[in-house]
Amino acid sequence: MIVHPRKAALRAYTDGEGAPAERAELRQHLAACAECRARVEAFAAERAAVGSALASVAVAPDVAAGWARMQARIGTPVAAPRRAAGWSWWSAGAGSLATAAVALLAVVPVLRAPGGPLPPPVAAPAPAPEPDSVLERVQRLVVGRETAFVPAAAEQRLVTAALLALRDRGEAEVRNLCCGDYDAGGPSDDGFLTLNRPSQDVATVVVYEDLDKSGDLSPGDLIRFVSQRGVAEGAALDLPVAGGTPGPQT
Amino acid sequence: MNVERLFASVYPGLVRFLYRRLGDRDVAEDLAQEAFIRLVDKQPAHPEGWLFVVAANLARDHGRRAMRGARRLQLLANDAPQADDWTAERQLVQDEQAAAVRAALARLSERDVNLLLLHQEGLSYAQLAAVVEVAPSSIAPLLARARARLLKALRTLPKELSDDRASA
Repeated sequence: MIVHPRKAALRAYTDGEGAPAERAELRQHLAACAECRARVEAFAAERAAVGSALASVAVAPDVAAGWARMQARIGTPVAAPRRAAGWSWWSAGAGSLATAAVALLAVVPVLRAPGGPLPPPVAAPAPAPEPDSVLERVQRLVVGRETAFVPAAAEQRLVTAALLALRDRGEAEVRNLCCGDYDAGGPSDDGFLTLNRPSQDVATVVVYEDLDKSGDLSPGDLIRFVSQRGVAEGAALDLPVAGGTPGPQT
Repeated sequence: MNVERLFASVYPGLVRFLYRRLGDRDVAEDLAQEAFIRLVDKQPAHPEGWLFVVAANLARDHGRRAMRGARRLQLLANDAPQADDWTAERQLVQDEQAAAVRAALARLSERDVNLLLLHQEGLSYAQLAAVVEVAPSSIAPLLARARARLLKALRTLPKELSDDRASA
């Protein structure tokens, strides 16, 4: 008398489950048993119908943007050197961001990161910086005493607000190149903002990820880098050609 | 553990799972990132399955407030945009299919939905068993019943909706 496998075993077989020996045994049985073969085919058809239905509810998230947002939510350790910690935002992003860093450095020597080993890709959650130190950093940014830094996650909103205030005061010549694929990371979502204040001989250059796809720096974006230099030096930075040309977002 | 690599490989599936469960892309992405943030803190031994377990829990906590029934069905009841060319028409058909599947999923139990969506993302019976807290040997029949319920809901839902519209 033929002993047929249990239905659950055939279902598991259809789903690719089971140890190799068990699967081999079932395969052998199926080769000789039309009844069980028909069952397996019915299970497979059911599985395919469900798979096809679920596949119609599709979503394709932007992995690089998701990674950037997660990094921003985690923050960076306050104990880490500022520029080194900031640099990790470039290096810890998707592989494309590392490429971007190299490409950007080729045309923007002043953005070069300090030497030494890079920190691990994701830092453990760290306490937010003291409010005073954040405000102090923003103040330094606005008056132009700090030449280059990457805002930590907790500072992002404040620094963005300071930059937008600087832009909106109307004292600066604004040049916004958004967006291009400056980090060679795929969709054109990288912005390059230059705020020139010739009367003070200060140029503020900002590289940002246009996360909200507004085409301009806005509170929802992620700032990758801020640099303040003399106007002539700033003009030399204004060469965001790595990875593509500015153009409409894709 | 290389979190960046794990993120690149698991994040899309995690977002898909959450999106199919909750119907809101922004929330799905937020919760997927939240799962990864917890991962960094916990450093679990089997991160991939762990992420889906956490995501399922986050979805449960979030979803009970707003999701079931009305909102999803509302998607079906919305006036469809005018299709002015073939691409728009095709998009319309896809949107309707997706809305129908969401509405069908909304009729299933949380366990059924988790089983279907997580299996679709490639989780094994053992991993599914950990999520729904049953023995691995129970997964085959539970998954089979969940599939049957979904397919039945997909068959009956369009008729019920058209009956509802006719009587409205």
